[in-house]
Amino acid sequence: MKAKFLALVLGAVLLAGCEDRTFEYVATVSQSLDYTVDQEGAFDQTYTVVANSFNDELDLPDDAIIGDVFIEALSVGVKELSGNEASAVKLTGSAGGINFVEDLVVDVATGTYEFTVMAGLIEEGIRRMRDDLMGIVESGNPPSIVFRLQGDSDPVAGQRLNVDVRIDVTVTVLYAVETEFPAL
Amino acid sequence: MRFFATLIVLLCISLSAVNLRAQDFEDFISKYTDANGKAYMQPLADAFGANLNSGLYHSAYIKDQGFQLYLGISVMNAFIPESNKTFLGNTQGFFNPEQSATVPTIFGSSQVVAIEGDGETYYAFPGGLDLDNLPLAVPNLTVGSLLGSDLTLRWAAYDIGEEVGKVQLFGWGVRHSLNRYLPLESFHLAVGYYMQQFSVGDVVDADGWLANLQASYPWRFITFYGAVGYENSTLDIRYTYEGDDSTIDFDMAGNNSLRATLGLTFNLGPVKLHTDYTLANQQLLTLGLGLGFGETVKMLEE
Repeated sequence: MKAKFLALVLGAVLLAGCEDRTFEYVATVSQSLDYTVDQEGAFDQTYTVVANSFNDELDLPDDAIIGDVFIEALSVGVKELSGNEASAVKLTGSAGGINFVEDLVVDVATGTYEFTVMAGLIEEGIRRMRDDLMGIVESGNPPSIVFRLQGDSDPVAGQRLNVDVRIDVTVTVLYAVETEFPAL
Repeated sequence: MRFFATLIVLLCISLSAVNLRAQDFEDFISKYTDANGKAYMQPLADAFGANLNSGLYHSAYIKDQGFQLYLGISVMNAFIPESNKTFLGNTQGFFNPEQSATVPTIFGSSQVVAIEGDGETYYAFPGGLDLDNLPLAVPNLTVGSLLGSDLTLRWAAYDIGEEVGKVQLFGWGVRHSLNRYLPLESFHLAVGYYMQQFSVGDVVDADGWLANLQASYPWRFITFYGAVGYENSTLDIRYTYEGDDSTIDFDMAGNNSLRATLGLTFNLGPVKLHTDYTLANQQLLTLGLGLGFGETVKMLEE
């Protein structure tokens, strides 16, 4: 009786094994878009995000199954360089030819970037940005995304501008990986 | 978060060789480097700390003098309550507007929770591991006795690769019989103090201690035992994110203090099979199997 009881318990302990389970992961990367403006009046510049560079930065596991891509947030900072006369700049940004922000006024900071939330985002532009990034993460297509930044000094247009503008795009990628895991 | 799936495996079976990549960990901390991260991990501190402080005894009988030895393995299982599967998370960074949401802890649903912000932006809270139980298996050696006292040791180590380092567990405990001072016959009383340390490289450090009053009573081939005690545990996790050198540093205390344990030991000759249940903030079941010599024979003969 004792032996049977012991065998039953031992068997139960040893039967606890592993199983394949799929876990969802969240990878977040911040993509900086840098522009240097050194001119009088209106400006129009581009910054290109290359698919390979973005995916290298993301560095997902080889066996990752992509679930979704989200644009989490955009922030912007404008840093003054020597000779700048503007106290603020008015910005309009687009990705893939569709505006994601229009006429956003950002104060020029001295010394270092002072990042603020990029408010008033335009859904259509964010959706296009998200779709392009989804394509990059899934298949490397499109091979790049052009982020265009247009603007002028504010509140007085046409002033001498010598500033660095940085836009940080926070991107979240949801992916799944199948993992061998104890049956708990 | 994948790192933590791996870590859970390690915590469960202690000596498993599993693939571990720094990127997996970074995917976790890129989201949880703040107060959210501590709340996400707190249930792990509770459950693992309670497990560490369990499976240390299976009788209160200690000879006054003479050889006494037990070598066995204890498997502890902490039951994860529903209340430890979610927490109130807050959006971080430049997500606009700031929002709060009930989201999974490390033991919660594996589904990511995404909430919508301005302009079709989304903030994603990582999912959990969807676990109801957290087991831990630990070998034990107890040697006695001298002046009614014995010594318990636990040790296990395994190197899981240069990225993380060595998983190591070390514990010790001492007990002293109160039957030396009290006129008790087959009812046994002892006081014990146990200290446990667990580490995973430089990333994880866990400590726990338990002080308790143990009692046992033999009946035929069964020993009924129990204890009341006070426990404490900590779980510290530190990691430097390679991307921007940001560091996470979660120092968590287990939400456990008073505990009461009731159990049975089946004395099958030298084979000891024991099980007990612990009532505490973190409840758990322990199952142990080992070989014991001089532990109960004299007691049963009495």
